[in-house]
Amino acid sequence: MGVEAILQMKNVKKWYETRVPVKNSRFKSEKKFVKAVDGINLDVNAGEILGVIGESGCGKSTLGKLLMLLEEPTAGEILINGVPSHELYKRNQLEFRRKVQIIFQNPFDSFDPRNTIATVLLRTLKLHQIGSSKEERLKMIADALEEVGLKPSHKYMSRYPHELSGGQLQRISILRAMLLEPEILIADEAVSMLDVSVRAGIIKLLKKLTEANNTALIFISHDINTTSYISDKIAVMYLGEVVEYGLAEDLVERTSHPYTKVLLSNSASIDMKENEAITISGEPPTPIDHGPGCYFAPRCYMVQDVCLSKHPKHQSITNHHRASCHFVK
Amino acid sequence: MPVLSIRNLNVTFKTENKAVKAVNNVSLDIEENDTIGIVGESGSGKSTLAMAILNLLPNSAKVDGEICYKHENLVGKSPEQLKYLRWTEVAVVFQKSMNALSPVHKIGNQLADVYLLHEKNATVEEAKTRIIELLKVVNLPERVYNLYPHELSGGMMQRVSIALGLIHNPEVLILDEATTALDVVTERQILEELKELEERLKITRIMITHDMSVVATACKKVAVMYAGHIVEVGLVEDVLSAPKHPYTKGLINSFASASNKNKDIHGIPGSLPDLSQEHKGCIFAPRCSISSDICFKEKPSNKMFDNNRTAACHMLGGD
Repeated sequence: MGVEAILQMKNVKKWYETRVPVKNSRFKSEKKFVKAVDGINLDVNAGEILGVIGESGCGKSTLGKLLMLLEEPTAGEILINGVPSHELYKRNQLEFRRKVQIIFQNPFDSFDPRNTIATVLLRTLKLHQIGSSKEERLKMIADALEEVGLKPSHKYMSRYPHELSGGQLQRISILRAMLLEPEILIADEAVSMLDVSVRAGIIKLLKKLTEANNTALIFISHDINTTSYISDKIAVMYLGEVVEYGLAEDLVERTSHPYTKVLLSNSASIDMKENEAITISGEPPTPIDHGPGCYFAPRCYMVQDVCLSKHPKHQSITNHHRASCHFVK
Repeated sequence: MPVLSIRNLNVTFKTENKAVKAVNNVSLDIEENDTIGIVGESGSGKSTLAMAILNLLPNSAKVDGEICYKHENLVGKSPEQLKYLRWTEVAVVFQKSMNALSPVHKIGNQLADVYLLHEKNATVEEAKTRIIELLKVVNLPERVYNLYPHELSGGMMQRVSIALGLIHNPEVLILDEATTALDVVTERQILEELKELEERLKITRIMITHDMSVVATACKKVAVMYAGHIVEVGLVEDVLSAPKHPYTKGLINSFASASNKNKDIHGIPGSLPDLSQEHKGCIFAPRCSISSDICFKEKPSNKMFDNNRTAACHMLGGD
């Protein structure tokens, strides 16, 4: 790649320790690891939108937390502009937070209910020493509110979070993150709890703001339809691993990994085309003791002997497109 | 003859200083063996409508109008009088099955409770046979009988809830966002199972959901609700391929699609109106892109189209 990626994940792992009861014993338990994130290698360029999709429990949210350093990785490195993120964080916490911002799923939980919108936003600006006086900061907030479509801004600034709808509040949490002009923005299921008619507006806003600031966006979601709409590239996760990664249109049109195929064919769409869902049984297991083979093998519809005995490596298909399956052509 | 016929139903929630009209003059017929999806965004009154059928609303709700189940008006009946209907004739599967099941009782015992409630003379053994049979129907292993809810995954728990709904072979099954919290793969599995089940058991299904795509996969008819009003009713393929009401159009345009990347998505500007106020004209007019003067003055009437399709909009032709 010619351009240096702004965010590089190098074999990032997060294992949680847990105790599992020993079989045939009433009281004994042994130490095991839940491999929530297990060896992720991804690069994200400035201004790029990376969608991360997967079912619940696949580790996509843990990955988001690792990038924010809300969780300490067990192994591996996260580089921001070539510098390890924990070093950045140690050197200057504020600067790190300014570079990497996150938007959570439920905006009602991410605002202090006892402060008005203006107070919340002023605090952010003051903490990061943006703007020199209160008047200047208020002016910035007013402009930003109008920019995200909350007009007239003075009506919103004096309100409390409970007086706003979920969509309006989510707009403000995007704005709060973007006021700092971060280099990396993580959106963890940011539109999942919003109504569809509101969702479209929020997605467009996210896209517009990150484009304008050349911010890299990590869009974490379980909804393959929305993700493929917004993203440039998509990473599909299963049990802590990226099983397929590529440009959004490659992934959707030239799907390589059987798990992605299953996800795509099962995701309900409103086009009345008859699409036959590929059926697989069961649900993702807890990622403890996978065994030597491919993690998806027990549920895979095209499983062969080799899948159970050997873990597949990532295979390049075209330039950016790769998948970890023994049968990728 | 419709199994369930709702006529001019109004549900008003009264608080100290205001009255919120959650369901406003709704009329809907549900035929036998039909599957109808009631779609709407949060706050559109779709759950209230369904809960009104079995009188499961809190005391602050005032219901008037008519809900006829096989020629019998259910509105105004006491819970005591409705007892025979619940589970045996009309059953509900609730959204959060986690909360619907008791965490301190085994699945088998909980299901047996409901079974024995309506089959007073049945023995515990009979109940067990029936429940194990039901667990098989919803693709669960027998061992679930002896497990506690926390030992099951979300999908399994949802299947238990569906089994519970089917325990007395009801005529009508109401699913209130029953698959919403599930992963795509599990959701699709359960929807396919449901479709298969009702063919076998002759059930009329009402699905309440905010997700148009669920309706597209699993229902024959759809009723679109907005702010307590039903704005459009029709066959799923008609409504989705050629929506008539501007709100339905807006909803469909809001959906992104993986298989069609060129489709641009548009939201609907604005937000739900305050339902405690009286609205003179069309309820959707303030957010509508094609509204004109008449929309703010007069309530639109239902216009009829082919295939029993109706839509309430001034801007439509029709018969």
